[in-house]
Amino acid sequence: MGTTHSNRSHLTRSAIELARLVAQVATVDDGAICTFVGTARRNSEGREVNLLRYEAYPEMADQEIGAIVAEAERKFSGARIATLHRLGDCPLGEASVAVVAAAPHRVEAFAACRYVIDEIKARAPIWKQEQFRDGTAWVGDPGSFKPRIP
Amino acid sequence: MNVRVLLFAGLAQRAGVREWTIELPSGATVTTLRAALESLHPWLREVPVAMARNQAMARGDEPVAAGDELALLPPVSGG
Repeated sequence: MGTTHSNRSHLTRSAIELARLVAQVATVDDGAICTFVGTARRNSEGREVNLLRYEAYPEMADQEIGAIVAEAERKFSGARIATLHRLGDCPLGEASVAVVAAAPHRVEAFAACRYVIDEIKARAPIWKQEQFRDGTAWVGDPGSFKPRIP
Repeated sequence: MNVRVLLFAGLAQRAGVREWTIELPSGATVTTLRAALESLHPWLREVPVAMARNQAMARGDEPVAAGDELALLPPVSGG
């Protein structure tokens, strides 16, 4: 046990391999492993998305996610967390983020997993751009639609 | 003194660059930096922006020193 995984980067430009994250935290003392995988969805408020593209302030995002992991491991007894957020292009259906929480019991595993994904979404300096057939837009930034020049 | 200001996502798109360098008087704070940026780039007033200093969220009254890394952060949308 412990937090030997905490020096790993929480950001990746490659496809996320959930099994590798599980292997980082699972031990024979765990009775529960809770995983969350956020995936690139086609529908965005009625518009069809072709691709998601993620950008981060990488140093700050990595530190912030590390802080969130440490908070969760403190708050939820026995929980250990591995998490990875994808940057760059994320094709539809692929994982944009994954959180794995291992703990002796399921209550802490569920709670830690939920805490980490909720806080990453609220706090990590990461931005999602939706790519449509006719242009692109940054999510949560209404003035950012940029038409695609044919 | 000169400080670097990093831009991300929709802000970098609007600015057309990923980084500004701005000259500030000594004694500048995050708030006076923000005001200086808004007078140079009035469109900044129209978009919600948080500021980070040296990779941590910054309060308005924090002093800004030469060599600091400032960043303008639009509302986050990771996950």
